Amino acid sequence: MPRITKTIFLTEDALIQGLKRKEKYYYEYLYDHYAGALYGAIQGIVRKQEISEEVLNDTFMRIWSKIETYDPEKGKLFTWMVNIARNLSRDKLRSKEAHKEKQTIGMDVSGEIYDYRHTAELPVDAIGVREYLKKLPSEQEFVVEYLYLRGYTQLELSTEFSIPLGTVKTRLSLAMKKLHALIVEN
Amino acid sequence: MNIEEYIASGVLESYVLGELEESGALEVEAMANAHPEIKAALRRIEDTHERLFQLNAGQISMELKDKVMGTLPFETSRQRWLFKRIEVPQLVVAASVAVFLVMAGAALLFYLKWDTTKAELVAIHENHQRMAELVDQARQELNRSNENIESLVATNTRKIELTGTSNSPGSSVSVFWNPTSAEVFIKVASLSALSAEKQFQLWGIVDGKPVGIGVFDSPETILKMNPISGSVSAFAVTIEPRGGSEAPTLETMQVIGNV
Repeated sequence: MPRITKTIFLTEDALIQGLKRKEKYYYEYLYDHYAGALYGAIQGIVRKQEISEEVLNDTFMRIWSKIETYDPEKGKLFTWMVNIARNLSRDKLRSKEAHKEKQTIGMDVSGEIYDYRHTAELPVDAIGVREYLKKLPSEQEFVVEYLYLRGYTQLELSTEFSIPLGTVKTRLSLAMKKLHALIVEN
Repeated sequence: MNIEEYIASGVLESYVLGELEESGALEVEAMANAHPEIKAALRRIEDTHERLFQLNAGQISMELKDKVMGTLPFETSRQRWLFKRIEVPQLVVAASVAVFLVMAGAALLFYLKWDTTKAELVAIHENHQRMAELVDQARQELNRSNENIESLVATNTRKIELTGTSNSPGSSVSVFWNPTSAEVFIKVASLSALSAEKQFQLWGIVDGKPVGIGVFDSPETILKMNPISGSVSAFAVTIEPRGGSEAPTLETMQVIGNV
């Protein structure tokens, strides 16, 4: 099916209304405009294509069933959706199937929750965002890469790399300010 | 609580990343509702947040879209209706829209023209009313004129010529007096020019006493004066201050004539 909705632009309000009415057109629009970004977030955590596709599917089903609970007053639609995607991804990471897969390909599975997010290379597509991250001071680039591209939480980052949580938060806050100027204002 | 410190604390970034527990999230929402600067800062973070993920978007297959869309339980009847809608030829839709626009345009033009026409109709009606009034007035004047003519040509109307005095030898006025109806008319043949504060006054002499019967300037047509009763022996015209006097200024007498 061609991307018929790609050239049409809906306001967020119109899109939300259509999604709440459970109309197919609006879910297609959602897919055409946002599935790529959601998939990127998922793949950064889950890595394997098959599992990433599965999680993307689960994400859309979750969006469908929970859309009535989405409150525009609390934040943007995308923020809500990507949090669903990331949470489902982290759940998948802890699931037995992922665990078994890692065992099969000979990865280290010691420890209850194996986290290989910091050992493997990022997907090639990350080049798009990398050129902007390079413009940040290295400690800020580090924080953004792990939180946004590798799906870490701030607490996980602080724990794993022994950085005080407050320092992680400060670096993220500064980085977001700089990135706003680099990628939103342009 | 300092707003800038709150924003710099990183709690908003944590909120956007979905890392706050419910109590923390509720607090952020309350703060954002209470302080527009916090709401704005939150929005900026969300915009950056979305942009980062869009830049990091992954390539996904077309088959995946079909699969995902297939798992969502859309209402099929509505789906069929949507398909039917999509199948209407674009040309037919465009033609219908064009026809509607033309008709709407024509209707609008007609409505605008009608508005002007309505205004014109009202103006014409008002004009008609005014004309009717003028015709009525003219008819009344004509009637009066006819009555005056009747009076003038009546058998017992006397015509008295008033000739100039030594003050103005060239002056001449004709008086028409109908003793039965007491009506008086004058026709001025020639009188001197007067300054603005003066007027001519006509007098009738009754029992040796002058009776004023009206003031005038320089009428070109027959002028009807006030009626005078009794037996008039003579008529005369003097020059008086504007509005007339109670008694004639005899030195100014312009014309006089005996009945």
